[in-house]
Amino acid sequence: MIGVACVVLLLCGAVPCLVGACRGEPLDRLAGLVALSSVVTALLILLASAFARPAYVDVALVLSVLGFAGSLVFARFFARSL
Amino acid sequence: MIALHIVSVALMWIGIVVTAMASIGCAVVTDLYDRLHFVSAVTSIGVPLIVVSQAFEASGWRAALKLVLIALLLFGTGPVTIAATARARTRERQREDAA
Repeated sequence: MIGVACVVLLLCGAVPCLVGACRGEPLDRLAGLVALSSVVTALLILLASAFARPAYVDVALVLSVLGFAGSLVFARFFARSL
Repeated sequence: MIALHIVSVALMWIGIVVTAMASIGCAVVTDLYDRLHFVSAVTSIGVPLIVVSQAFEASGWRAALKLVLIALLLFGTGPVTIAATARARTRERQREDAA
């Protein structure tokens, strides 16, 4: 059940974000990257349940913090206000 | 326990459907502001719903607390990143107008 959810989230959630992160102006791509980091966090949490490995939740926690910091640094860099 | 499981599965699938639709919308539109509109649906509704649904199935309160913390982090930091991206585009346009 959760395995099916992981596949659906990967194909219908992560792949379109990746496509969005590969097309358009730099700021359009940044928007795709922001969505992608959130989707991958959710995917890691679902994988932790699917494979019964609670350690993946720690990876998701770190990714949720680092994804925010990374996206914010890019956005501030594009605004030339870093 | 059955009721919690049903709530968890329902929240998970609602979150996945919202995330999938918003992600596909994000890939289809080309304007940045339209795209950020879809990204906000991913970070504020879809992903926190998926994370909270797994908190219902967690083995102990410690694991559930960790998942709720992740959901709150994503819910709180998503709008900040989106506002920073939109502000970057506004600054870019202002510089182009000034030049």
